[in-house]
Amino acid sequence: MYFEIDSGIRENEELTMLREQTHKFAAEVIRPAAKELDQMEPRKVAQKDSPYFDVMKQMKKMGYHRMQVLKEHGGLELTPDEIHIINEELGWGSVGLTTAIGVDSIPLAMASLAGSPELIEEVVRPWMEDTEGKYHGCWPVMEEAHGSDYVIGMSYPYPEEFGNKGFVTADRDGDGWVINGAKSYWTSSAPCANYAFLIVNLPPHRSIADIGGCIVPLTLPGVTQGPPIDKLGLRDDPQGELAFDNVRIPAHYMLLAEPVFGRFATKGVISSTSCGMACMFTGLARAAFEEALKYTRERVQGGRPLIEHDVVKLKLSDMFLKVETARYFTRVVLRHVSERSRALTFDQSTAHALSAQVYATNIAYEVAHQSRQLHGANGLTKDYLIEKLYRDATAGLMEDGANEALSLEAAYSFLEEGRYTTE
Amino acid sequence: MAVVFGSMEWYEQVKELANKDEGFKKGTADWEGAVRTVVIMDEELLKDYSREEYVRGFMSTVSLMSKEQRAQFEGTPMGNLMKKLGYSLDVDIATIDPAESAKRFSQLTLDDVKGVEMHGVFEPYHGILREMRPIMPDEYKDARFTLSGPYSAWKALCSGKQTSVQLVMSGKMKLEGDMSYMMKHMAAMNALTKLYSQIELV
Ligand SMILES: Cc1cc2nc3c(=O)[nH]c(=O)nc-3n(C[C@H](O)[C@H](O)[C@H](O)COP(=O)(O)OP(=O)(O)OC[C@H]3O[C@@H](n4cnc5c(N)ncnc54)[C@H](O)[C@@H]3O)c2cc1C
Repeated sequence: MYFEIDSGIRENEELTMLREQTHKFAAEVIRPAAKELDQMEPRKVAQKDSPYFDVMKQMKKMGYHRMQVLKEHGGLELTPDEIHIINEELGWGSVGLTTAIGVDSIPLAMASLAGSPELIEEVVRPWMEDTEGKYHGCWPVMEEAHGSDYVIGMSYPYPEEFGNKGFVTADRDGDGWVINGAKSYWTSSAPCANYAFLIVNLPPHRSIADIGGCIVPLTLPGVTQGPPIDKLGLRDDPQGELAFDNVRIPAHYMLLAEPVFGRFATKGVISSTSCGMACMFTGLARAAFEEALKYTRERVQGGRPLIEHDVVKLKLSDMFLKVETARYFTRVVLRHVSERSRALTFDQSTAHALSAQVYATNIAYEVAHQSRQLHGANGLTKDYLIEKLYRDATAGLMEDGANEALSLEAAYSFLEEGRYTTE
Repeated sequence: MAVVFGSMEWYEQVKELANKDEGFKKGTADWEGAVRTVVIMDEELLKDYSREEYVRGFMSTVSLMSKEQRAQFEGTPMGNLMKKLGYSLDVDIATIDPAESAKRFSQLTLDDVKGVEMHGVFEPYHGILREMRPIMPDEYKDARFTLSGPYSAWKALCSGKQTSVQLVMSGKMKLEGDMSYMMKHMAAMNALTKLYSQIELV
């Protein structure tokens, strides 16, 4: 466990208890399950008898899916510091299962924040009361034809350059909407989910900027869930395609029906998810650092434990610096983003949120690489946790946006919002 | 005192409330620009206006207009509505019997009120609500923003069940204007429209 430098948090008994309780859960439930899932065939990970569903059920009992939901709708509406602590600890356990619980809560949080009273009654309340893990959400954004386009297109002034084909479209149909198209097979938890907060392209379908978002029950006629894909990292979170063939939803399931607002609101959602990514990848970086500490204390070369060599100490110091800066930068950004997102004011400073994700995932990859190198050839075997951490860290450079695209969007964002002036 | 949404009393209550409210002062501290509001008549309005108190509220805003101003409605959906209710545009409002008008409203169909709009403006300025009143359709045409929606959406706002941002996002209301400014000042919009829910409606 790390030394908490912020005395406001260190001396707060409730936050300390929360950290210890979440850490225990991450160590005793998430890590062992993630290890088992990591080595299973993807098809089996998504089957009903897989440990994946047991863990999701337990996470729901702990209330992790209710963190962002408003109290008036049965949620926990946790403070940013509580959310930060939980996500870092869960990420320390495994970023795959943390992603699963994270995307699970997106349709819920969106319906709670932006939904009509009917939608709250139909979806949010029963979901809140579910302790059996009956509900499972996901967040399909990217299509095969548009990956980074979605990230860069949030502020890029000429989104029509990205073309107007290959979208999942929503069109008005009587008093509801009809949806067509397919989302990328990279959609986290899609093979297991039964609800989506689906990003759609709205009429007149000119460009990626005609963006909207709706709640879609995946049990509706016309929805097809693809099989889980086989991949390098985050193997404990099944990912797969979602296809929509004339799927009809009622009008009140469409939460973002106005492209201008869709664009702002999507920036708001991505800012929140970026903070979540930054927290959990700080957790992964910390786990990799701890593995390096453990291993270099045990492994003797040159007549003494590796840790006693100054060159190794220097490496550890560099890793320490990276983990600590990621934690404290992310925490401050999350405080701002969380407060502004809940107020639905769209001034959450997306540039900070995306930069926190880029920073934390970059350092997680670097620290995992440094730690794996310190493990020698053992770091390449499944006997050591670092092997999985390294694979997961690699996926983090792409999850929820390629880091290059996120950085580019961050620049467009702070320039457009005029948050950095030189006067 | 319970008032009718959109009546003179309602506008006055919002103004009074806003200028005493700390949340409003804080939320609109850097706001500059007027918001033109458009209420579009719908089925819910027809239901409400079958009640005498509502007609009284409606007439309170009509009575603010001079006869010349009212003449501008000739041939417009609002002018046609007045005709369908059996009144000429230069009618002396004081002679209108609200109970009788409510009865006439209850016999109208959605087609009869198609395209009828009621306009207003609110203009917070550095923490003060300096303008809040009903306006003529041609006033404030160059307002920084226009917020429009069916009467039922405005009522949802007044009930406090949904915020203006939620209603605009879901397409139930429309917001047009300088969106990059709005993105940074959404708190101001919410600060005002949140006050609507504190006003008791009849
Ligand atoms: C673990 C994981 C979980 C994910 N979960 C989800 C999910 O839940 N929902 C979802 O919708 N998606 C999800 N994704 C998909 C993810 O968001 C995309 O993979 C990501 O946005 C990148 O898109 P792409 O893979 O199509 O790559 P591309 O966009 O094709 O990018 C390929 C390369 O080109 C670069 N590039 C792209 N555009 C430009 C440009 N304009 N200029 C210069 N360089 C450029 C990129 O930086 C990248 O290096 C997930 C991905 C992973 C790995």
